[in-house]
Amino acid sequence: MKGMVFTEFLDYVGARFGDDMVDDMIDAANVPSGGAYTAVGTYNHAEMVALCEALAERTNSSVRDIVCDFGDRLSDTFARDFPDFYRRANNLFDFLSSIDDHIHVEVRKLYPDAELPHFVVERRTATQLVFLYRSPRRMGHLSEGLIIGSARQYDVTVRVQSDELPVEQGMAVRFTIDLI
Amino acid sequence: MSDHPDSADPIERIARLERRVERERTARREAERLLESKSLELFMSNRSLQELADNLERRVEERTAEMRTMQEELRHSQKMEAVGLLAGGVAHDFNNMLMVIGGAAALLPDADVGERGAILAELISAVQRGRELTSRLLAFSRKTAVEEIDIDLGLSISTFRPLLQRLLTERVALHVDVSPDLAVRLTRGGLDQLLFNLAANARDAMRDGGVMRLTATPCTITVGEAGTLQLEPGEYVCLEVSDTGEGMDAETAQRAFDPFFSTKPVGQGNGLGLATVYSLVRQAKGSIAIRTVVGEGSTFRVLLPRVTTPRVEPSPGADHSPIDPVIGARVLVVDDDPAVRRTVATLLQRQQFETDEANSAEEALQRLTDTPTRFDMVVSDVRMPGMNGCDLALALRAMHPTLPVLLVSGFVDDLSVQERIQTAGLMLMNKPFDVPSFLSVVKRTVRASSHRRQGHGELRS
Repeated sequence: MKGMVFTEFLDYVGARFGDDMVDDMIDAANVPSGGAYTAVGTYNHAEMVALCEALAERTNSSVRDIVCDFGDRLSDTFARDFPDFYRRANNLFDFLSSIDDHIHVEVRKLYPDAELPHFVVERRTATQLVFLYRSPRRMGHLSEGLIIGSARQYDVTVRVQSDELPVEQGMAVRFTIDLI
Repeated sequence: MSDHPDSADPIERIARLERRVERERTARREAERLLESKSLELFMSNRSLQELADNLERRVEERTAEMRTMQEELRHSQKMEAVGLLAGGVAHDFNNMLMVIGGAAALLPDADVGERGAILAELISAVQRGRELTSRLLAFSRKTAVEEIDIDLGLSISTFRPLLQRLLTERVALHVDVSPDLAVRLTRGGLDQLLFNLAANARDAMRDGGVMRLTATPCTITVGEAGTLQLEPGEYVCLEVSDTGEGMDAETAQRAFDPFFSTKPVGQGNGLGLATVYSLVRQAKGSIAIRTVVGEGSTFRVLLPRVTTPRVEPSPGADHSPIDPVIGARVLVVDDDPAVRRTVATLLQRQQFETDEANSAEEALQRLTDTPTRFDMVVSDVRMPGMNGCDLALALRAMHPTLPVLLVSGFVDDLSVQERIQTAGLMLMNKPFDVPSFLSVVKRTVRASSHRRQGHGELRS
């Protein structure tokens, strides 16, 4: 997983729960890197899982809620650092539909070794988008938060339903997004 | 930063700060390692790119050289084909001229005084036609014996107009409108050739009659226009020849200047007329373009650099005023062709010159080394086996600066020789020359030279 996700996560934890929580979480997670992340490095995604679990335990919340909330916050970072990604799409559904064919192409130019998830649109109407998230890292909750945060970038509110598919269909989550 | 209060215990705070500093240090070292690794990667990529760019450049150069060679070969083969195609027609025309010359020569001995004048006129006319034919052939070649002259368009076009009208026949009306004070620099006879070919093309496009307009106006080509027209920016003359004929479709217009391309029936056009025009215009550093509409007609727009300070060109015959013969002046005639050498010597002897002959530049040089003051002038061919006339003239100029040398040549095909003749300012006349002009030049030169030599106290042995 790219280091930028880790540094953003530490910023998120510091801002949401305080800098001491960052220390505590890192200490508790006992990750190989020692929590010394650089945005341009690459780290095992298991470290992210360990950090999230440590944080959930200390904040009495679920990993799902933490990861989802972080995804929401991450959309603001993306909107600030890569505004063109949002500007080029006319609306939320166009943006989400363009992730694989456009945004990930650009990401790979910057990080050729990036292991990116796949987003496949299954169905689209004016008010509903159904698409599949596929990734061996199972960070579907992060995607859910990103979807909610991205909706905010377009001044729309959405209801997101996520359904984890059976293992035999691969590591995948089906998102059904309804404009409210 | 955080809205949450962090630990207030100072010792714990210090411990936390130390851990954070250590984390930052570790992260910085990692970042530096990554930076170094990326820098090396970039350096290697840059070197590979440079090698690729060098390789690409080398390949482009090689390919360009190959294409130039191929173009040259193609041009050469086209020229050879053109020469082949022309050979038949040229041979026919030359045979006719030789027939006239041979017949006249056979008739002369038995002709009475009255008939001799007419026979001689036929002979001179045949020679003139031969000269025109070789001029046309040379103009088509790039290695033309360059003799550029400044042409007053108003004067030349008004002189040429009756011939143009005759060419166009009575079916085609000719309208001419030439602005005053326009001059261009073209090879001798180039304007006539250009107008003749464009008019012939116009005539053939108007089989049922029509109007041909010939206009010449001044125009300025700006820096912006120059690139598109492949011209240098500056003052130009715009010469337009338009007809009200059948016009051309796009494909025909695109190929109009290709050698051998003709829409005329077999035997009626060799496809060299417009190719010759194109060659003349490009030699003069000009451009030519066609505007054409099927069923309405075509306009050929020729842009030629405008000459604002024309070189004074004596009109034919201007030098023929009688000049006192230079009795006893001695001329060395150098030519490897004995017939030409004897003819030139005889022409000079008839004008009371004394002549010696040399069949090579080396022999001439030896004569002038042995008897440096024996000759008043040297008349030499240019293209000869061994040393050429240009080298001879330059050697003599070094040895005898006051000895005039007149070069005469049918065709100087070596561009470097042409350039050296022009650079050195050597006198050159093209063969076959106009006899009165030749004699006039020799007489004037010898007379001027003898004054100079007397001034230098040189005496002929």
